[in-house]
Amino acid sequence: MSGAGDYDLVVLGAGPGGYVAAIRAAQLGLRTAVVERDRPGGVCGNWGCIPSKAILADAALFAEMRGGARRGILADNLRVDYARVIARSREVADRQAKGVEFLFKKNGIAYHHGAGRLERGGVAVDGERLGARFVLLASGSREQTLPGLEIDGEVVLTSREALERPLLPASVVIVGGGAVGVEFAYIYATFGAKVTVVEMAETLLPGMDADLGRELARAFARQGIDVLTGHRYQSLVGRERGAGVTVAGADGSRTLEAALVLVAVGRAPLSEDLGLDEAGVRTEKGFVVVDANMRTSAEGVYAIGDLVGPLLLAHAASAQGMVAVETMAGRRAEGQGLDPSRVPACIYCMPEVAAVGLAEAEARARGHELRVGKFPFRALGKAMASGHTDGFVKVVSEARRGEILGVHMIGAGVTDLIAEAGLARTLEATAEDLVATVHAHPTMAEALREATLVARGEGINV
Amino acid sequence: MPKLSDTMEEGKILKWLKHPGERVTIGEIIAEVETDKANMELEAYDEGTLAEVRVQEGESAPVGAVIAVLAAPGEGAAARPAAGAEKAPPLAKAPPGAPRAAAPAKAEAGREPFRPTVVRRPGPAESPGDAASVKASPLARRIAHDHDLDLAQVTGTGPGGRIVQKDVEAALAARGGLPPVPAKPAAPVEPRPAAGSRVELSRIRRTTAKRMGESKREIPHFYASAEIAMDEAARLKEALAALEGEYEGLTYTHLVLKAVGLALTRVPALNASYDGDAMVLHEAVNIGVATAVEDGLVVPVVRHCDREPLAAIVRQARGLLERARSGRFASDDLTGATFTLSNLGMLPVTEFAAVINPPQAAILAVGTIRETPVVREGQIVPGRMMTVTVSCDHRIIDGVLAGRFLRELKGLLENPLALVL
Repeated sequence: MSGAGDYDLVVLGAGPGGYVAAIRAAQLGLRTAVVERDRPGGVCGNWGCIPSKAILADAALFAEMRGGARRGILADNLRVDYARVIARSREVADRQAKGVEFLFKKNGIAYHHGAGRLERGGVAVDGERLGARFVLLASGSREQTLPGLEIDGEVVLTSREALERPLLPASVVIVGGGAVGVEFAYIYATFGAKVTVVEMAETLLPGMDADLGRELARAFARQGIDVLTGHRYQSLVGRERGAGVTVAGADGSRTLEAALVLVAVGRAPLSEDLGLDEAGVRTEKGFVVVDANMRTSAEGVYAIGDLVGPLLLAHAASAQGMVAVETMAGRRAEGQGLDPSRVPACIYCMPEVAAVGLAEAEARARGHELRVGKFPFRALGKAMASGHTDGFVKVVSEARRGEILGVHMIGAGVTDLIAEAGLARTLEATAEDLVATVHAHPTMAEALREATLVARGEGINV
Repeated sequence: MPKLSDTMEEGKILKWLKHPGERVTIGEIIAEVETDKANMELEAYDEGTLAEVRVQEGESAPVGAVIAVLAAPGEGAAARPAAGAEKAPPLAKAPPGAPRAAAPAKAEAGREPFRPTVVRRPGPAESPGDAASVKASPLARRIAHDHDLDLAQVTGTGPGGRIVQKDVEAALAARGGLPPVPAKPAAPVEPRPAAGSRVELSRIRRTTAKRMGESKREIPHFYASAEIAMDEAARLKEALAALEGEYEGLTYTHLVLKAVGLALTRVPALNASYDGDAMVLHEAVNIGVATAVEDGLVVPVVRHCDREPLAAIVRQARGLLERARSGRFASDDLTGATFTLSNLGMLPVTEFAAVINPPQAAILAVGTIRETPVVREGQIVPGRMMTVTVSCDHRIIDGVLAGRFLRELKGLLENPLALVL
């Protein structure tokens, strides 16, 4: 039997939110335990970010090799062993999970495998009771579907099943043109499938700066991917092989035939079975309600990550975990939470998409006077040299003070370039500071400075 | 002595807020200056120690004259100014990145004029000074500078106690959002004018009198008028006003500002100045709006009317109006106009001709919008008409250019969608 004095902190969930929080807690001297019902690493490490990036990297390599002839790199008989692609991605995921377990050991964190549930003064794990002063809920989310789209694992899949399916389909309809939808569109299309993406909103990547979705749709069109924006899923009919998916747009409805239907319509919080109601943890539409320091309505109970929405990003969960744990340890001032406008969002199809801060329309709606600058990669030496001229960098700055309100990028490697924009926002650098920063030539990173120059009406290379 | 308004030729030091031996930080108000238009604050663009005051309180100095000497940090405050400092440009160093280019206004026509403040001599290796060592983000510094806020008085809540944007904003909110008002010299009690008595002109009125006289004597004015149907503009104004938010307080003046801004890019000759043997075409389209204040006329400037979206123009104009009413303009509110708009449409003035505000080449006079029968496609229908009159400097502008400008302006206001696109 365990008692109230077991731990200072029990973390429910060992995903990118929970495991980072646990390690930070151990660093701050909290006796910490982690409870995970699946595998350490969470969706990110096992069924999301990491394995999908392995597959995407292989797709990008294949696309580069296939396009090599234009550049004088000749290869015959280029083929894909997709089963091997999937197998490698699983190996990467396994290594990631083992890495997390190793970090728990290294930091003296107790790891409990099982389903945890809130109880007075701690957590119950499969009948065992772990007493704790603080509990951090980090149980994450699962894939969501739409009515009538039953996930059967054969014809109708979510990203979770798709990541393990070793067979390439001949044709795919992807319902949802957000991050997951466009990444799989790129994977399947690159490896030869006929892909149609159906998105309800008027552009791909709803919620991001509209220029990004429009540019991605143009790039996808060049890659042979059909994009149906402004179209809503209506119904699905099973066929002998595959399915017929009926969608409706402004000009009426039509039925798309495909061997595979991938449902990528967002994620739902895993807030059932945690004993939230009994513990007095308030939720809204399944998401746990928290304050700036990640405290729930129940004393001593904190929550982070996908469970609290609406960012649904691994690195946001990690950052929120730091906020929660540092608050518990008295190291974080009241109200000093995570500022969502400093959290970058990245998408890893080709061209890649990355953004931080306010979209242009959002910034205008908030009444900011703006200076907006856009710099296309095709005007950049490094982009021309490397053959990656799709896309642009767009800087949204406040007109009078030069505050960098938002940076929106699409192009090769922009998911790494966005870090500079994130730093600029965190340090409250102004457009002036970005311009004063010497960028090495030739690099893709020059595009951020050039876009800032354009915003100031001082563009050099456009 | 910096040029604090376009028409300023000399300035009188009303009060030194800093005295020799005192430290001066960037953006700090060091003196109050009486110009031809208003009492204005003089801010330091550099830091150091005030070494010497050359123009005493109550004395005047022409624009460009050295009024004080600033010693670099580490340099003795008592150091004598280098010989020849008087002849040197009044300020050797512009603040890094300040939007004012360090070049003579004439060569940089269209850019905002450079406004020098105080001589700074290059000092020996500068020791990390007090103000510079305050830990603050670049944005926080910028906002503090814009609002004359001393960062040393602000508590930082960022990483490692760094002063960040919200700290500065909180400090500004705590002091009422407005820059601190330095003590003003008591205003003389103005005598009520008795019948037949002589009324001393206000400073603003005297400037206006001098400049309008010069303008009419010097500039060969000619005038061209056009009637503009404002039915569509009225509909647009109503539709935008219904959106509230960023269009709150939208007036016809704002629509006309945007339309004039666009029309000037199409007929750039009217956005120009006569300069003896040259016609200086301005790159920026900054429109001064003749505004009545208690003791006369001021012309605050709405910037970039061509490329700023309408909502931004509304914001700018509203801010200027508020500052005009409170009598406290920011130091660049009154400078840099390339064209002037005079709108008497709120009064029953059907049309009038305005006097050019030199060195600009043209001014637009706007009359009231009146309901009147108009002939449209052979039918007499009710319409809303507005008469505008442009006054032009005939030395550089000919009638046909004025006509083209009016054609563009008329087109933009009669099909006003372009104003919001």
